[in-house]
Amino acid sequence: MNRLVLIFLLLPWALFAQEEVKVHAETSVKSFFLGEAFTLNVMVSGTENVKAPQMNVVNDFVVKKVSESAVSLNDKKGYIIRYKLLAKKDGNLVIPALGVKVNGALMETGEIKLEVKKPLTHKGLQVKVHLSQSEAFVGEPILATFILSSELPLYAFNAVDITYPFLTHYGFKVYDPHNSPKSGDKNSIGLPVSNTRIIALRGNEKRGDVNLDTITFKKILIPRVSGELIIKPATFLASYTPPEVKTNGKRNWQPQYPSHFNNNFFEEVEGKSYEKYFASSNELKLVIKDLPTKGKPVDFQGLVGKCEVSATAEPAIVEAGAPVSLRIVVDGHEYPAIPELPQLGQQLAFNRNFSIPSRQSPGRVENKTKLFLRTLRPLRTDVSEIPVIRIPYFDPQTETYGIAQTKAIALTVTPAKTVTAFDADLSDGKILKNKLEKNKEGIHHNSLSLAALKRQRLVSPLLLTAVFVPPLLYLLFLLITAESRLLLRDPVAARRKFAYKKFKSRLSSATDTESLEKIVRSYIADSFNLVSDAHTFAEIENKLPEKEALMKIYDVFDTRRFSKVSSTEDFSSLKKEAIRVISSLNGRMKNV
Amino acid sequence: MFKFFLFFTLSVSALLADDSARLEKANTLFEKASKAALSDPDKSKKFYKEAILNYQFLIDEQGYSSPELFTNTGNAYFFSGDLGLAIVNYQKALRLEPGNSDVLHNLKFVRAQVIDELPESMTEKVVRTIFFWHSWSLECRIVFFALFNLVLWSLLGLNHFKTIPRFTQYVFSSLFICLLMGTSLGVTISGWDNGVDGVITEKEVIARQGNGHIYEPAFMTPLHSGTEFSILDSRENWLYVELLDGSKCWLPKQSLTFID
Repeated sequence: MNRLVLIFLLLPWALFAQEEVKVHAETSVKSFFLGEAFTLNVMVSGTENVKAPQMNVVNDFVVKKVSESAVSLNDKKGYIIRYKLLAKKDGNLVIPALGVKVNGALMETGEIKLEVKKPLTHKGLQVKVHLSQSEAFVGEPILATFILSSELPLYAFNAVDITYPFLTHYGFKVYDPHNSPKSGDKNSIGLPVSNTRIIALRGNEKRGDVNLDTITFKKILIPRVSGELIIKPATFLASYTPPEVKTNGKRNWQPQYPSHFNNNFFEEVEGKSYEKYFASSNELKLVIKDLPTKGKPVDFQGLVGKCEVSATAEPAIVEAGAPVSLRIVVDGHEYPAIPELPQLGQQLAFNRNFSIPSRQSPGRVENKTKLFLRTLRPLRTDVSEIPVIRIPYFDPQTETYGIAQTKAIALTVTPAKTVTAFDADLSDGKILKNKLEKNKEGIHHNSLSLAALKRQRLVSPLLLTAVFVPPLLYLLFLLITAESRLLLRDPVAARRKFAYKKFKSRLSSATDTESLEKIVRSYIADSFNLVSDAHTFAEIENKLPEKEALMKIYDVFDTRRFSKVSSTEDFSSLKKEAIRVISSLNGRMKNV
Repeated sequence: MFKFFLFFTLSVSALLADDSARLEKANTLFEKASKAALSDPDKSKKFYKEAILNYQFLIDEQGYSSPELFTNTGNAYFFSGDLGLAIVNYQKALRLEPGNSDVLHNLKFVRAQVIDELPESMTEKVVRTIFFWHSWSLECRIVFFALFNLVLWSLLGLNHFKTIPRFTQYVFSSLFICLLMGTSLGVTISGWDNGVDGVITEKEVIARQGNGHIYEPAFMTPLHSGTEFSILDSRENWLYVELLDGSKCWLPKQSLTFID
């Protein structure tokens, strides 16, 4: 029994022990220069139940988590957490043991020792960033020029990394100037800058007696936020291998693209001794002002800088639905790449009268102007012009808003002669139907009625009808069918009711005793289901609640029948008495 | 006495004629603005603003209150680019005529233009799924109610003449559906399902975690014009509000416009 308990207790442990859990951390490099980023991998094998370590113990490095995923390590379950690290200082640094929660238990990685070397600086290696202005409005283009100048031959640099903070700064949109170098140009060179590739221009400069190699690129910055912006320095970090001196004394420059500069950041210079060089520009300060709200056009889209716009259209006479080519030229802006054409398809003036493709080609810069080509299709024959195209702008010189606009272009639209799909005689003989689909966009029309000045009913008549009409109809139905229902429910009572009704209606026709007798006898016969002229009082005597009064009337009838004597006065009193007795009898019989 | 009555009647008639003329003027300005929108957006906006002033005069100064007037005002605000006040006016129109399909359509469209995206909370989703008929249009619910109300009373009527098999079952089913639809209609008409008390009408406002600027923002980004809320609490110039997605925050009163 004890053995059994022991086996039972050890069984989960044995099963667990099959998957041995290990935690390990390693870096991509052990020795590197300050400014170089490297990767730290925290690996766990044997389980996927892992919680990432707290990295606040890693004080000497800037840490950024890159990824975290479950993996298969040698057919075992595993987990890798990947970080990107950047040393904050040089010297011998340590990544301390990291606590990783594995299956709820805390496990530790080993310490990692790293050597961080300080890169060299060189007086002749300089980075400069020049801004066209230090104060601007939100949206106002600023030209930023990056210049790297070096006494050292540039072809001797490898593993280049340039950081240019404008490219990653949230406060700027960055554009290429219209005259930027192309990758195929003779002096162009590809640069790895802030994880992107930039085409720069290679050149030479003479400073005193020293020949300098230069690399320049320009960017247009459009500020997006106002305030005082401090821009971090642009930096240059690269490995330098001193070139071998050639016997003919010529430089071994290799201008073809891609050049030495288009290197991977981590690329090492294999088999050669090298030095790491670092250069940085000054920190820059920019004051960005908000645009004034006064006089701002309603359709202002943020363009800063004066410009002009003109348009031509072809053809001037067109069938409805046929294309009209619109050529729009934006001229006079200091940076022609910047002005954008408003979305014509989103302007009421255009989308109500023209069909405009949602995707339109971007403008292209030609001789300091920006050209936009648009295709419009007039929808109807009553379209008589291509409306004015407006480009509102803010002029930073005068600090006022202006509007560049084209002139309206006259257009003659003739009826379409083309056959539409709905006119076509389809081979299968079926008529093509236009399936109408409700457009849920837009808002519904205004009310022009003066009823808007009346107080509104809180509950709609439709609802009142829905609530009250069915029960009212029911009541009406009950009233109409009251007699039929009584006949079904209580035929005797119904017979009496009908007899009394008949009695009352016939009374007016009773002019003598004989006719009155007939009416009374008829009532009694109908009430008791007897024959009108063939029943005697004895037959009904036992069924009557008030027999004496009726008996008297029957006696009067019998007496008058035989005496044949009558007077108007007697008849009148007899009639009154008969009505009283029958009414009373009817009332009493209801309760029987 | 007669003279006084005559004077009173003439004065009232003159005032009414004046108001009618003002309404016609506002409507004309609105139409002008709509036409100008196709060629001159600046002029169009000016006309919309003038139309708004006239509508607003009838509402605020003359005390008129009708769904049509509020809808027109809302439309003018929408076209002039003020989503917040457009929503305020549509909500006011709905208070007067709950379930008005035109107003609901406009409100839905304008809500879609509002910058702040407030996804429906899980509770709301569950409630909406369970009480699915409540999202049907008012007209549709009235028709259903009328139909089953008619069936109910017809069954009761027919029962006097004929034995209807499963009569009780049919009567209670009809009654049940009538009650469901009736309750839903009642909730809509009383406005219980529209808990919106106000709308943010300032272009941008920072919602706070407490009733003062000293508190941290409640959200990582500011709230924008057109975002609706219901009031939970009020402290001096601050309101504790619940947004349509169920999130709660404090907002300064001067940034808001109330429906009532």
